[in-house]
Amino acid sequence: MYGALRGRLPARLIALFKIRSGYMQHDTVYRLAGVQFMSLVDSGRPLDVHGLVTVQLRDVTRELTIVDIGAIIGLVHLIPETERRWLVNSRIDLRTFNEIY
Amino acid sequence: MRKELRRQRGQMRERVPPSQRRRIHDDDREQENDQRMELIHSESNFNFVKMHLISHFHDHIYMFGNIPMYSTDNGELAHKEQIKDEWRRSNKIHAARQILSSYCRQHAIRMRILNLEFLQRAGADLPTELVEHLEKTRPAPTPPAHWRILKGRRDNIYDVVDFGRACDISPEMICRELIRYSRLSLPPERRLLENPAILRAVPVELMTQLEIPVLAFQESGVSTYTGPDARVLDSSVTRPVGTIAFEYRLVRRICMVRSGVVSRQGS
Repeated sequence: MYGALRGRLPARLIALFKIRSGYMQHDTVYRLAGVQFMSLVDSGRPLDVHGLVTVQLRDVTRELTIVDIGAIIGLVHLIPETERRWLVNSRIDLRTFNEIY
Repeated sequence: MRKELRRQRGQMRERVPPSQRRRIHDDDREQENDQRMELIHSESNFNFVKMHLISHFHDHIYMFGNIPMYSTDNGELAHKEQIKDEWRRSNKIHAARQILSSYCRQHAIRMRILNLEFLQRAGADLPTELVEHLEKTRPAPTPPAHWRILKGRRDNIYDVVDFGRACDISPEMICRELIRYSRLSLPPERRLLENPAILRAVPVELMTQLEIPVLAFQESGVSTYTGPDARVLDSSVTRPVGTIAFEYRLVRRICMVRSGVVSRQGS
């Protein structure tokens, strides 16, 4: 799924929140995140020129999707291509990138 | 530097008592340390060859093709798989022979599995238990979800209405998405009440930071956190970002979401 990203999809993180169990049927806390998913260009196939996957933010997309925070794997470094398209950088890890720039 | 200080002291040509000499010696050492630190701070930068080469990547891609062809990842990975993992498995006594035999055994098993997978695809009649073993998948090692830590509670957020106001999202949409999440991702006994009026009054805490454990480099089963007071935004720290910052291409705060949830939510 998602081509070379192998089951992972970049999303814009909108909010991190907890819902307390006060008004729920069971006494639990839900740790959730509101995200906006991006979509893959070319089914997640890396482009020959640079070998990177391209993602884009569609004009018509769901404004908010709620997921469990366990579904968030970590940060991803995106290189802007146009205003709504990015390359998913897999050649340098985020820690090194932050140290350089 | 040390010679310079000694020369300056030698020029004083004064006889000093031992206690004063000790104090002078301490002062000298402190001064030497300060000068050394100043030197380090003034000359430290990223102006070395490895960093400079990045500026040539663009041209090189057009001239020679994609960079991954020249990647050293394979060599690095081989060092881990062939030596480090096997060293851990050995009893650390005459480890070289154990490393060699262990790696050869692993390699032979992998080749065997590849051969069997090829035969299976070609339609060969394999025993049932062998087919079951081949179809068994092993998940990638990821730290469990409960290790994630939410931090930085925002004040004055008490319910869904406040939450929607803070994030500029309508409470109706939040309730709708909560119900969708509850239906698609939660087991029946843990589902939320599907009444928007009740959901709007649900107590909410809005957080500003999520710490995610990251598997340590070349270590299996070892995870590390980076604290929120890290000098730079680390890969293990995720914060939400506003619309304006996002549109201005502040692209660091993008998260990668695992597909298990994506597929259910996206469908």
